[in-house]
Amino acid sequence: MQAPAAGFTPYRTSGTTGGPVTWWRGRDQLDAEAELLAGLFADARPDLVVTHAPPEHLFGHLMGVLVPRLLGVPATRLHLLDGLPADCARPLIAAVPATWWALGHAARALGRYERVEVVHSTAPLPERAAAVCAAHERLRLTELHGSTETGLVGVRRGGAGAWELARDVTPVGPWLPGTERRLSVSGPRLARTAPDAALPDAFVLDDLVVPAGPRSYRLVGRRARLVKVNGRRVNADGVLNRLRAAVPGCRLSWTPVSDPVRGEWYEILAEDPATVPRVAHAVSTLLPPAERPRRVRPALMGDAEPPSR
Amino acid sequence: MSDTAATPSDAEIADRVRSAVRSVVGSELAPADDALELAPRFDAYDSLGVLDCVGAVEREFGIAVDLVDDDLRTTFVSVAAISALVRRKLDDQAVLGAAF
Repeated sequence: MQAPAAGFTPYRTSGTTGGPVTWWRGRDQLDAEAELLAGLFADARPDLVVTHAPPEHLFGHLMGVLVPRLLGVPATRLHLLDGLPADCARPLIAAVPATWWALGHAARALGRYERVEVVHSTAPLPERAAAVCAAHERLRLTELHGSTETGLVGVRRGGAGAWELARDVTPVGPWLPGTERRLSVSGPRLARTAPDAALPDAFVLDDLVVPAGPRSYRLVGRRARLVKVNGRRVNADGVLNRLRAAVPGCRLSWTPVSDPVRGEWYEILAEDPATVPRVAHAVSTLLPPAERPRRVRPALMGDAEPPSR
Repeated sequence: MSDTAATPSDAEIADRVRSAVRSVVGSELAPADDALELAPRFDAYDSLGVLDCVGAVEREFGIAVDLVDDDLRTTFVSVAAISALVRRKLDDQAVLGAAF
């Protein structure tokens, strides 16, 4: 991680088309971000914030440090393999996709709480989330839509329906209900590419939306060829390029797959089955564990293509 | 009614646990290594890999693992530890099944 410039905090993320990119947020931007989030949960009177999100990421920093400070409650970062804390009655749980697996395997612990707030960000809800929410009537779900680059863009409660734009976010460009478009927003919390850079006029997200009202929208897809493995962006095209360089002559593609733990994952498809062992070896030696595909396998007729660029 | 005869032997449980773990780590596992910790030996056996393994074991044996009650840090540390957990769960199921 780069050394922070005075008053600015860096957050590193995979670029949508290339390598990692560092985005910078000023202290006032982080304070504004935290105030928006804290305002979403104040009425629930949480007595502990529990987070699975890593603190070096924006969501983890906000939910692990800044939001608890504003709410006046302690925070704890929990490892995925740990149980839920017993010394609280109304936890606010900052979830990554794998959190839903954990919640689905902690029914008795969840049942002991007076109230549970779960705030999910970083990726689409995994399939298991609906069952967990349905099984615990004292659990309330809040989803956050946004990115490292934009911060919070929209909020949705209850896991269904339209998203409401955050109060300081303005959609850029035509906003015609029923018309699919890429979501472009402006606002005071957009990140900078450098501490001394000007606040961007707007940022275009990878997400495809359909406006549902003056300040609401439905998410309908994602344009970029990215996959979010447990909420962490992986540039699968970049992975393919590294593997092609390591295994000359191999013809590779990738396909996204849903995963009960990570929410999303991906598989690498080799046109020539004979190259699968060499590609698999390159995967295990070249890629960090967090970027590895679920598996390398021969391509089959009917394999889904990832979204086009 | 007794389900004791229907429950697998310890050796069969260990075989099936090895198979479930192999599906996660992608490598063959030798019975002689059952007591060795998995995480230091396999990159894929990180926290997400442990959760994958829990799912594979649940499917394989038709049991339910509880994150709080079963303490994954100890019960999923090695093939032997997983096998012991499975043995206990299956025995509990057999007793509960016999009680109804």
